Amino acid sequence: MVQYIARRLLLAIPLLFGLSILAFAYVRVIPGDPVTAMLGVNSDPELVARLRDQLGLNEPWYQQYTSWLGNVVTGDLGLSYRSRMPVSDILIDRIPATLELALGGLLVGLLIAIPAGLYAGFRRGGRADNVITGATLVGLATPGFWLGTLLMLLLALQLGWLPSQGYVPFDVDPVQNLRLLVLPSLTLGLAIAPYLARLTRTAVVETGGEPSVSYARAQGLPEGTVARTVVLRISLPSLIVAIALTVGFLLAGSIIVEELFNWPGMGRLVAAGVSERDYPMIQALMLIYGVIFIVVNVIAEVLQGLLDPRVRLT
Amino acid sequence: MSAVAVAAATTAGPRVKRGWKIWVGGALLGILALFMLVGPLISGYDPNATDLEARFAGPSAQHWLGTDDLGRDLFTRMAVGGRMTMLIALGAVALASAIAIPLGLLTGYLGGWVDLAVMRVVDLFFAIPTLLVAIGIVGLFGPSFSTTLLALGLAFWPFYARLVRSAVVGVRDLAYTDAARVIGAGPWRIIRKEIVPALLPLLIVQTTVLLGFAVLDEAGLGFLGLGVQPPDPSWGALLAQSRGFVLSHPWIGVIAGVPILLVVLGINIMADVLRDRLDPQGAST
Amino acid sequence: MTGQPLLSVRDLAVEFGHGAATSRPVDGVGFEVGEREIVGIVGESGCGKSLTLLALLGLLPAGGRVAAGSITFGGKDLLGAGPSVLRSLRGRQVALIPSDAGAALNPVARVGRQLRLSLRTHQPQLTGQQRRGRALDALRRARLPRPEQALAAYPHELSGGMQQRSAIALGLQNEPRLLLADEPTTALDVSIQAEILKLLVHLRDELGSAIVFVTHDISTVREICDRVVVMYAGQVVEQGGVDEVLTSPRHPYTAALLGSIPPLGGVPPEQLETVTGMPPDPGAWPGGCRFQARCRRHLSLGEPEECTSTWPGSADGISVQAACHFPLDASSLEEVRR
Repeated sequence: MVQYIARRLLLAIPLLFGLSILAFAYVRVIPGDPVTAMLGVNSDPELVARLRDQLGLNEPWYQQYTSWLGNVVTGDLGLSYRSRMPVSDILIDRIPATLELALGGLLVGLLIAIPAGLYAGFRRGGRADNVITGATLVGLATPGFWLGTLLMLLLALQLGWLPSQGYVPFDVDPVQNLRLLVLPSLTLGLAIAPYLARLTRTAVVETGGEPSVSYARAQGLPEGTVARTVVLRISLPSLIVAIALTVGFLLAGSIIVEELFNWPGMGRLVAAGVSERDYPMIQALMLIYGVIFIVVNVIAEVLQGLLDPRVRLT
Repeated sequence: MSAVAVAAATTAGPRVKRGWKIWVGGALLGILALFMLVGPLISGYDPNATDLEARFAGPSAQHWLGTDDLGRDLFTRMAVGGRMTMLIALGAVALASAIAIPLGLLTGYLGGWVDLAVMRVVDLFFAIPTLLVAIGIVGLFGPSFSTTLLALGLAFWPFYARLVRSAVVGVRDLAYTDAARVIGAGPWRIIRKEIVPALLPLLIVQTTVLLGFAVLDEAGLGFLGLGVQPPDPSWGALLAQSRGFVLSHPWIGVIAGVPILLVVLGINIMADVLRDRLDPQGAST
Repeated sequence: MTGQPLLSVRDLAVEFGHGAATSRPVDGVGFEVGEREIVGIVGESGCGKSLTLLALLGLLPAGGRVAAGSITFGGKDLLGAGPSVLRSLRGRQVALIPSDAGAALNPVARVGRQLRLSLRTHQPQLTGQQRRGRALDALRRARLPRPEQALAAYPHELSGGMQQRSAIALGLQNEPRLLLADEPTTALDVSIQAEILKLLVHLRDELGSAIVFVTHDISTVREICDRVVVMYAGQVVEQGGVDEVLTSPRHPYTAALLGSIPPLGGVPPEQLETVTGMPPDPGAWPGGCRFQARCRRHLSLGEPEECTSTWPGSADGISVQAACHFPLDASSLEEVRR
């Protein structure tokens, strides 16, 4: 098992490496000169030259890359063009809010999707399956931010049950923090739930065709036991991996949901960063979102190994 | 076949005929196409003509869906915006297909290090949310109609390429392609005559599925203000615009999402229909 | 066989599909199994033998149904019994031994856990301690080397033979009256096959369970079975005592299976393992004798008209020993053996 985990971790390294090259290259392919982008077109040529030198832009690209990577690894992500503050300082304040929202959204999504997907999968072709599959189809077509807008209008403005938007740190006022979390995480959860439900249903349906399932029935095990100890237990490891792959959707959704509900996470930096061409910021965001995705997937694969002894051999 | 295997293999059972799907999907897409193409003609408004006398008018005989903050006719703007969104979505899918299909065919057919290298790049793109890739590309060229198209196309190709590749790998080793090789057909001939026809159902289905995603992501980019820029309408741009006054005039934000939902639903239903008809193996999942 | 048989199957038919798309892969099967008897069901794949087993367990795949016939087990009507009755019989009184235990055992549960789960279901009165003891005992009876280790192993950690023995242990631990062995040796090496066969005979002697032994390999039938039922195209074509059927087969198909008559296509007897050509499609059974198209005797007799017009067997599948208009006798068997 230790060996398995070590191998999974090793496999993530080339991916992280590739991610860093992509993020680095991103700033290189900007049309025009990054210094001009920083200082504006009509700036003093001498100032431009000094800044170029200061930023190491006159060195060959691989030297720039290694020194940049060295900085990144030590937590130095450069200065934001916009605010002139270290990008890492800005991000560090924002990451907890994004993680809170992502976890909340994932929780809501799983709470809706897993029971629905299981139910539909086990009662395939039945009325409940048709209803759930139909709801999934509509859910997949619903833009998340529009759904969020509707929820906000209904639950906050019409019914007044919840605050419409904003954020209070958990350590300042936990109750208000959670109350403010409800709408954004509900929106995010509902947005990803159709994907998760579909994955769950597919996993159950596919496992239902395994010889182990008919053999378990032949042993006279009650249907509930067959569902729990065989179907679910066999599909769970690969289902976890499949769900981890949808973290991309979750993160993309969080960018939009944060914007919609004024939730001060990293996602709000994305649109602002792009509008203002704050390249170090965009670069850092790519890295962080990518790292989150990779880490989540490594964890999922480790879980898969823990739950399925066959996987550990491969 | 053994009893357990017999039980396992036949659980799929006969598929229930779902004739209603094609009607519902077709009706949705037909009505929306009509709305987009003919809507502006029958409403008689210029989509960008402002009328400050009639700001935020509710639905009425003059303005069927009301007006926006500048008094522009929403019905017309939604119809014209739909054209814009659909053009972007179709263009983005065409671009993604133009990259992904040849690449997938090549890597799947050749295998070896080409395959390995391209698929590692694809893996990398999987690690970054599609929307973020698209946003990054918008960041390079500035938001506009063509950037949105480019950004979505470039964000989508990795998923598509991987799918095509694995389908090619599945088809490549089938007996008939081997037979074609034995006869002495060259690789291009095999790809053209054997692999592509076998893949066609999958390609048609996946292109349709991707179209739905493209519509949603155009709206997502637009919502963030990174899509089509004012005053031109698109569904995403309309949503972005509505955010400014969603609390005081929620109507616009509510109505602006409806055509997106309907079009994507129509597209997804049609994708299901196509999958049932063309690609019965993929239909069960 | 004396007295009431343990299992009695009459005129069993299994159907799939509806209307024009209806197929009947099992179409009029009948046989009996007495207490402590080992009955072999032999036939090519697709002849309906596995579906017959599933019908006995009440576990036909989705879309399949018993369209006619009766199944009586221990005096009880199984077709009329509700799902809960069937479930309480399965694994308790009627146990299945799967063909590929490696695929059938739950891949993510240890062997011991799978054994205990079945014990807990069928013998809830047992304590945890007792269950553990029973499970270990079952593995010993299935002659697993190092049974303690097997208890803690996942199926994929065991060899094919040990997987099969684990599945046999799972089947025998509740001391069922009937074991349904579904090609239990096909996935195994020849040397292990022989051991498994010996084990099955031994279990019958020790536990007194009757065994239905399904196989496509008629030579294994000779080794362990008391009686044999030969199936072709969803029907029983011949049945009787093993010695009788295997030494003097009366149906040309049985004879072909035994390799004594080369079928159409003229494969020399030395190379003959099974009959050449394809059996007919269950969606469209031909009229008359279903074997006729592949039957060498039909050809040598000048293609008599009866073969294509009427079915020579009995409707219930049991009362005729060989379903053939022109059954082989000593001389005709000799003649075709030339």
